[in-house]
Amino acid sequence: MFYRLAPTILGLGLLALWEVLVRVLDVPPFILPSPNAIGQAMWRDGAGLWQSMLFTLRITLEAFALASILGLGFAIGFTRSAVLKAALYPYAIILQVTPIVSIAPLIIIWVGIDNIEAALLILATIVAFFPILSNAVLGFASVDPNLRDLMRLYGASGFQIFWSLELPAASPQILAGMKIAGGLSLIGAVVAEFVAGSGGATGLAWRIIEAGNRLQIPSMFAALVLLSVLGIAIFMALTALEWLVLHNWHESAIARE
Amino acid sequence: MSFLTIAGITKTFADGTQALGPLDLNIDQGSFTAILGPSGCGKSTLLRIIAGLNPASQGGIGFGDGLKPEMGFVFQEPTLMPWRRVHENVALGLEMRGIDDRAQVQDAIMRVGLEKFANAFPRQLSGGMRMRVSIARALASRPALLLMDEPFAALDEITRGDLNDDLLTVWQSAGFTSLFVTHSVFESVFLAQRIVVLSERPGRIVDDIRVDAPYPRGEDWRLSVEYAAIARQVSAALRAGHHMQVAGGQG
Ligand SMILES: Nc1ncnc2c1ncn2[C@@H]1O[C@H](COP(=O)(O)OP(=O)(O)O)[C@@H](O)[C@H]1O
Ligand SMILES: [Mg+2]
Repeated sequence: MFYRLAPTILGLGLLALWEVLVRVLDVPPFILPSPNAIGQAMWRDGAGLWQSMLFTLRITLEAFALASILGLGFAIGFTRSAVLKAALYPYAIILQVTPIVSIAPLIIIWVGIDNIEAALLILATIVAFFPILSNAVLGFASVDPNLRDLMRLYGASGFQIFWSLELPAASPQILAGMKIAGGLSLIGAVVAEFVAGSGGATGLAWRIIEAGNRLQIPSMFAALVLLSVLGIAIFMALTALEWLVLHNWHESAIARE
Repeated sequence: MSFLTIAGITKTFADGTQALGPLDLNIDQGSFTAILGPSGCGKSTLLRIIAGLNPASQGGIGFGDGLKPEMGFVFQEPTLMPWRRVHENVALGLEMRGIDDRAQVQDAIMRVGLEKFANAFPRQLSGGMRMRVSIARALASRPALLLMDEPFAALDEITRGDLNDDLLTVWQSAGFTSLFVTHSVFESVFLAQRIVVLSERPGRIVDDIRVDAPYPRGEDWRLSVEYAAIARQVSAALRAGHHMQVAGGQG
């Protein structure tokens, strides 16, 4: 019980310390606002922040879904065809190792001028795609070959082998990839928005830029807090999904019980 | 007409490894045959060819009525799906054919004595119990031919003895044809009506030994004079098969 409450207690303690120090040392709000001032800013900008959060959340979730579909799809293709894997995997790696901020201006010029949301979506998807692909490829490669043979002996179709064997066998790795990709989708969406500047994107990153330009530091912090909340929520949702799928049988989930 | 005819098969893998043969063998309907040989002599390869999982390089496999019979396969490891409960693992073969026959699954689970564990996950079971699940899975689709590839090699002596007893009971009541690969002389003599001894790689038949003791076989069979005599004969054949390789290697 104490272990569960420990992070909360620590957090509240640090917030209190922060509040006290800001007041006692009389730190000006444009350097470091007090938690109280941040809370007020959040309340004041509530409606706008909420809209921005929905915008960022939507881009993030769309990118995550797209990255999951593409990552899984390519991983399935790679498992079926060695030629396809040999041909495409190097390019997937190139896409992965090229820093997203360096591609972002290009994508925003090509796509973003007409449709900024599509540009953000593409960029966030590129960031989130690779961990799902590489983990799924690893998962599919570690399917027990004897079970594969057994399925063949029982006359299973290609789809049955995929659905009843490959997908569940690879699910621990796929979920591990999705957990990484969830956080990266958010990072991708925010980075893309930063590069796009205020050219139409209206998410939380844009709020941070705007507030920064006007030296409204409490508002900056308010948007930052909401970004963290989003990140934590995504992580918790994916952890819950992982638990749902694995808790009955997989060692990683059992050890926690 | 025998149940299974193996005619002149050989297997050479793509990398040039000569794994098996040439080998001829006729198996009778309902019989229990042990295939015994040193490790690496091609026993698994032979079973996989019979199951149709690998093609032979030469020769062929024929079945009495011309049709491929229903087959069950038991590997050295239990090879279960850890995300499926025991009864779901056992139902796998039926499920792949779109058959939902709970009674048949239940019956297979009962035959291996796991009715109390039908809802357990494999991780909750001991090694011996997992092997029982694996056997139940093979039994559930009512095979005419049960192929077993050193199924008990990884188990401790006592568990192995129990499983040997239970396997014989199941075989006697269900009436399928058994091909049982092992590298244990004693296991082969205890279980089989016939012991086919293979040479070192590429596996060829060194000896084909009948074991006439009646079933059910129990502890008294293990302690009998005939048992010891056959075990000696089988061991001698294994040694002869080993020398065949050495002689061939020098030639
Ligand atoms: N896919 C393969 N490619 C090349 N060599 C193989 C392959 N499978 C088995 N072998 C070789 O064939 C020989 C027989 O293998 P196997 O049938 O597994 O032997 P056993 O089951 O009697 O121990 C071994 O030397 C093994 O290394
Ligand atoms: Mg083997």
